[in-house]
Amino acid sequence: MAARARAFRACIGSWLSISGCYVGAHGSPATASEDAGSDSDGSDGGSDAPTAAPSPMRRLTRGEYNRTVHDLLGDATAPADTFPAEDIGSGFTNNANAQSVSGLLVEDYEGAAIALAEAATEDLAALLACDPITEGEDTCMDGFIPAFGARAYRRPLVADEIDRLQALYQASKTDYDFTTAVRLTVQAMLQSPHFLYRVETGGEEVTRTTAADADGKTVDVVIRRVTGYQLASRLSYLLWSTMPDDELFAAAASGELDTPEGVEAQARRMLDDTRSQRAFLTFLSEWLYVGELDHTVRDPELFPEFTPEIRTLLAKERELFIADALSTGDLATLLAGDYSFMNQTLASYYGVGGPSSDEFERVTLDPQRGAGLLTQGAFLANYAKPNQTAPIARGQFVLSRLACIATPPPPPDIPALPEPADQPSLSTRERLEMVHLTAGASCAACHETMDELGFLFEHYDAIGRWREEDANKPVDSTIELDGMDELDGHYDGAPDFMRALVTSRQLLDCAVRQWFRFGYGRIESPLDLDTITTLEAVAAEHPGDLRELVVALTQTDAFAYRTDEGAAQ
Amino acid sequence: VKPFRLSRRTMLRGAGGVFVALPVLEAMAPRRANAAVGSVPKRLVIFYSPNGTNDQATGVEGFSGGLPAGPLTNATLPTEAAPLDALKHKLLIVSGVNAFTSASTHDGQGDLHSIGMSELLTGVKSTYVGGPTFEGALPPMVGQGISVDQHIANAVGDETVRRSLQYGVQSEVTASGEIDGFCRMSYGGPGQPLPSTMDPAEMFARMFADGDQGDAALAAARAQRRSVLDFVMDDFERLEGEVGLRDRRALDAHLTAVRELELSLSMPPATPESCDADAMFENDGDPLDPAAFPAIGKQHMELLRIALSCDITRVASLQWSFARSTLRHTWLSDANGNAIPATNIHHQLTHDFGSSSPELSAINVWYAEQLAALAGQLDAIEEVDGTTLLDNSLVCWCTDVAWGYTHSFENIRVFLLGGAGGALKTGQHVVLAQPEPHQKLLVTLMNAMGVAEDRFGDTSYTDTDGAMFEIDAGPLPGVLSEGP
Repeated sequence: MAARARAFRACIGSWLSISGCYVGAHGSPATASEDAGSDSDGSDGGSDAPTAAPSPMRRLTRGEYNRTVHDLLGDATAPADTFPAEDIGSGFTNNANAQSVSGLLVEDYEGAAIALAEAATEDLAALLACDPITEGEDTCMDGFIPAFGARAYRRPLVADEIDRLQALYQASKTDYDFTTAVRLTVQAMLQSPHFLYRVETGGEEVTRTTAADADGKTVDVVIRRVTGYQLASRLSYLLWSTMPDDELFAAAASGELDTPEGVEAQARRMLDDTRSQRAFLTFLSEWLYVGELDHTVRDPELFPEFTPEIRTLLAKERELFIADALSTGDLATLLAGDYSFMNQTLASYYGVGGPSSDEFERVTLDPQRGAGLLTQGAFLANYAKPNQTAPIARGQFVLSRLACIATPPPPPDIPALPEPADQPSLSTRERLEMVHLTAGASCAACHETMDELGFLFEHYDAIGRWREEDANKPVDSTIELDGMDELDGHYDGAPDFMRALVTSRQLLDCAVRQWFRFGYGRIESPLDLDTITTLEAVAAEHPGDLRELVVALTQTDAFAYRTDEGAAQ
Repeated sequence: VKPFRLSRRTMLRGAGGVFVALPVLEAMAPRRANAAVGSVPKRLVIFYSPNGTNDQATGVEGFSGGLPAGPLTNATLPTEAAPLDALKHKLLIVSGVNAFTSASTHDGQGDLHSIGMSELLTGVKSTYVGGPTFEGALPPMVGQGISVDQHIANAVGDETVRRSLQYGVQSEVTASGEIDGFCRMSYGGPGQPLPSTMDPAEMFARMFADGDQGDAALAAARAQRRSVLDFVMDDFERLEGEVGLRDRRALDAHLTAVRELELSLSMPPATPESCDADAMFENDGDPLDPAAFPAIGKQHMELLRIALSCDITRVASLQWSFARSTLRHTWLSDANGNAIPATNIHHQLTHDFGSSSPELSAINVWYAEQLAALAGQLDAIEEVDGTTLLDNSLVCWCTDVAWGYTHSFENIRVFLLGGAGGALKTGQHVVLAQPEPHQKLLVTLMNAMGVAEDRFGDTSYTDTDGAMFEIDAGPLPGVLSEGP
C-alpha cells in the first residue's frame, strides 16, 4: 500500500475508532458490538432470528405534517411551514434522535390545530359525512369519532379512546354548542401524540433478552413484529411522506401486509404513483445538499455576473435536472448525466450554446465538462468562497456524502490559508499544495485525499462557470487518487471521476447507508448488519437503481421488526 | 425565507383595515413592572455574540486580561469593551473562569464552537446525536443538560405569561443550511435545544398572542383551549406507560411543554396597548438578509425591552448569529467613521488573523455597542421604587469560546451588566485568585436571580491535559453582595 493510502487509512481509522456506533464505510461495524450482536443466537447474521437496532418513535417532520393534514382534511395552507425548523441528525431532518420538542413547537401545534379544526368545521355535514340535522348530532359523532380517529391516528381506535373523545365532545357540547364541540374534538386529536408521532406499540413478540442500559441498569430488550397498520405508516411515510391512503389501510386491515410479498406489492404500487417523487426529492435534496444561493456572498468585483437573477436560474436548473433524472430513478444519470436544463440567459452565463428564449430547455453538454449535479452552478457556487473556489469543501462533500467516509475534525490551531492576494502568482491548487508541504504530515494524512477530490473541480470557478486558467496559468484538474480502494487511479477532471464513481461500490454502498438513515430516521448500528448486507446485495444487483433500493428497504429486518428497550411489560 | 402569517387570533382588523385594540379585563391586565406594588422582579438576559473574543489590546486569552483588578470607576476598559464605558458603574467583569466540563477535550471529537455553545449555559458535557453528520469532519455537539436560563425560568417564570423568550438574529442561518448544536445555547433538558425566533414580527405576534380579543371572547377561548390541552396531556400520560425508556423521555419533554402552555393560559395576557407598544409591527427588512442584520437586531432589542418592562417574561436570550458564525459584517466603520471593508466571514477572520485584524476588532466593538444600546434602554426605564430596569436585571454577555484564535475555553469572557436587584457587586473587575470552573458562574447567576441552589451542571471537570478535578459547591467568590 502506498504511503498516502496508509496515511489516509490512519486518518479515517483514528476517527472511526472513537465515533461510537458508526458502521464503517466498507460494511463492517467499526466498533465492538459483540454484546449486543450475540444476544439472540451468538452469531452475526447467521441465523433466521431477526435483528434490528432500537427504532425511536418518530415525530412527523414539517413536510410530513403538511401532507398529512392535506390528505386528512384537504388543507392547502401548509401550516407547518412556520413551525421551528428541524434539527439535523446524521445529515437528515427526520432523524428521531435529533428531534426535540420546544415550547415554541407545542404552541405552533396548538395554533395549527385550532386553525385546521376551525376550517374543517365550516362545512360540518361534509366533515362528518352525516347530516346532524336530519340524522342527529350524537348519531353523527358516534360515526365520526371512530372513522376520523382511525385516519388521524392511522389505525383503528380502541374502545377507551373512543370513550374519552366522546366525553370531551359531550362536555364541550354542554358548555358551548355542537359545532364548537366537534371543533374541539378535532383540535384535540390533532394535538394527540397518536397523530403527531408515529407511535409503534404492541405487535407480536419474537424474542426477549436483557441488556444494560446507558446507566448500567438491566432492562428488557424485546424484538417485535411491526403490526399491519404500523407497516402501512412505515410504507406511506417512506414512499409518499404522508399518511396511508385507503388502499394501504385496507391492506393493513386484511392482513396483506403480514407477508414480505404483500409489503412489496404495496411498495411497487406506491412507487408507480407520482406521490413517490416527493420522497425521492426530499431524500436527494438532503443527501446531496446543494443549498439555496439566496444569501451566498461573492466578491462583486470578481464576480459581477453572479446576480440575483442568475442565482434563481441556477436553482431552477438544479430542480429541473433532479426531476428529470428521477424519472429514470437512476443514480448514474443524477451524478454523471451529460445534459442539463437552461434558458438563454443561463446558457450564455455558462458559455453554452443552444437555448434562444427565456424558456428552459434540455441542453446536451460536452461530456468533458458536464457530469450531473456536481458540475452544476448550484453545487459549485455553494461550495466555494467569496473570492475563489473551495477545493477542500468540494472534496469533503465527495468524501462524506458520496463515499460515506468521515474524516476527523481539524485541530483548533489550523494554519491560515493564504488568500489569492497574498500569492497572486499561484493558483488555488498551488496555494493549497504549498500549505500541505509546509504544514506536514498531520494535515496531509486527511487532506491529501480530500483535497485531491476537490482539485477535480478546479475547472469550475467560484460561481460554477468553466474556466481554462487560474492565476493566468492552465488549470490542472488531474489527480492520482490513492486510498479509496477500487476508485484508486488517475483522473482528469470531475466528469472523468464521476463516471467511475457512479458504478463503484463506494457510492452504491454509501447510497444504501444514506437511504437507511433517511428511510428509517436513524443512524445504522451494528445490530443492523443483516439489513445493511441485504441492501448492499440489492444495490450490487441493480447498480444505481434507486427504485429497487427503496423496495429493498421495505424487505429488511429493520423494516419488519422493531426493538423495544426497557419496554413496559 | 420563512413566510410570516399573523393568525386570526393575533390580529383583528376594523372595517377600514385599521387595527383595533380591544380593552381587556382589569384583572387580566399584565402585571406591569412600573405599576406593580411590592417588590420589583428580577430579570435575566443572556446576550450572545459569536466566535469568542479578540483581545488585541493585551494578546492575553480571554477578554479582560491586562485590566487591573478593582473598581472600574477610573479604569480604562479594553478596546473592545469601550462602548460600555458609560455603564461601567453597573458592570461587573470577572477574570479567571474556565468553561470546562467533565470531558472538556471530547477526545478530539466535535467542533469546539459547538462544544462551547452546548456547554456554556448547561455546564454539562455535550455529545452528538445519531452518529457523524455529513460534515463528518465537524460533528456538531448537542447540549446534554438543562441550560441555566431555563432552570432559572422554571423557578421565576410562574408569574408571567411567558416563562422565557428566545430572540435570535439570524441565529439559525448556518452556511451548510443545517440547524444543529451550532445554533442552540438554551436547552429545556438533555438533548432538547430551544429554537430562537428570528422574525421580529413573529416574535411580536407571540408576545401579544392573546391580546386583541374582548374579555368574554378571551375567557371563552382560553377555557376551550384548556379543556383540549387537558385531554392532550391525558393522552401523553397514558402513552408514556406503553413505550420504552427512550420514547418515554421524548414524550415527557413534549408533555412538559404542553403543561407549561396550559399554565400560561391562567396568566394575564399582554396587549400592545397595555405595554405602550405600537399596535402594528413591521420588519425593517428581510430577517434572513445579512444586510438587514443590524436593523433586525435593533428591532429584537426593542421587543426584548418591551417584554421585560411589561413583565411578559423575566428570562430572555438574544442570540446574534451562531457559533462559528460565517456572517460578513458589511456595515462596520472605524472610530473616524470610515467604512471598514468586509474582507471575510467572521469565523475565518478569527483563524486567519488572530488578534491583529482591525476588521475582527471592529466586529467585537460593534457587538459591544449593541450590548450598550440594550443596557442603556433598560437603564432608561424607571421602576416603581425609583431604581431602573437595568438595576434589577442581570445581563450576561457570553460567547462560545474564549479567545477565537485558539478556540480555548480558558478565561472566558464574563461580563455581567446590571445588579440583579443589588445581588451583584457591580462596578468592579474581579480577578479570581485561582481559575474557577464555569459551573460556579452558573450557580452565581442562579443565586443572583434568587434561586438558592449551590450546584449546577457537572460536578467535576477535566482540564486540557485531561486531568480531572472536583467542582466545589457554591458561587464564584467575590461576586455576590451576600456570599463568599
